Amino acid sequence: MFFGGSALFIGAPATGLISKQEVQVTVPKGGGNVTASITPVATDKAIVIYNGSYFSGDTNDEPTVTLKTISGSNYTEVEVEDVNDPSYTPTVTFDIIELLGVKSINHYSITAGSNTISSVDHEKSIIFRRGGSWDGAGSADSEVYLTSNTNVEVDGIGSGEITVVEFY
Amino acid sequence: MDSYVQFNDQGDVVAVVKSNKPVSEGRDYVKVEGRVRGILGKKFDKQKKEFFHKKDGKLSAIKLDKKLEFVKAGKR
Repeated sequence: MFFGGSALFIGAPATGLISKQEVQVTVPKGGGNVTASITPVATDKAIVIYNGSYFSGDTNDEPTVTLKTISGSNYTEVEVEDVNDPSYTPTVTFDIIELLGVKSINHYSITAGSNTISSVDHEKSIIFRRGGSWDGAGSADSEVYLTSNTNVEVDGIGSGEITVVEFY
Repeated sequence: MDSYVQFNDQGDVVAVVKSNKPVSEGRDYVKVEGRVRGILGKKFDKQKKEFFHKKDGKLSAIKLDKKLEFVKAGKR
């Protein structure tokens, strides 16, 4: 006897991309913030992937991107906040994606040295930066990484915003 | 993907979201069919429903060879 249809797999949940939207925002000269409407994304599946920013002057700070305005179980807006650079109009580009197979998403403001976070399996977790000032000595960015299930280390100077995503 | 172009009270284009689905209805925006580039930092005139840029000190309309739809907040 032949059984048609799709096979059933039992095991860890699949990981994959549910949706993607590409965003480009420009922040007013002198600093400030811009809030934009986005295609609604699930709060427990959505993260920001920072693609880069255009900025200059004597600061090396990157604009901070934050998903906000929760309606039901979705974010409906994104806020981009820039540092106070008096001479430039920074542009920041990023993707907002929804992922399948996410166990937890947490957002943190961290500074140089050790930063305590909610416990995750650090072997199955990834850090995404959402902006900040990470400039170490010279022009090198500080390293940011998980040293344990409850600690994020900033190896250098600086501070900023991160998202920690734990997968199944 | 379509482009959802958003602007501030002065008409300056401050955000472009490219997505397969509409953005939320929280604020005014212009839906442009397909992808649009080079529109960030330009101006949008709500009355004329046109984009402008400044050239030689003058405001000139930007001709986009794409279908535009101006959507007012909460009116979709």
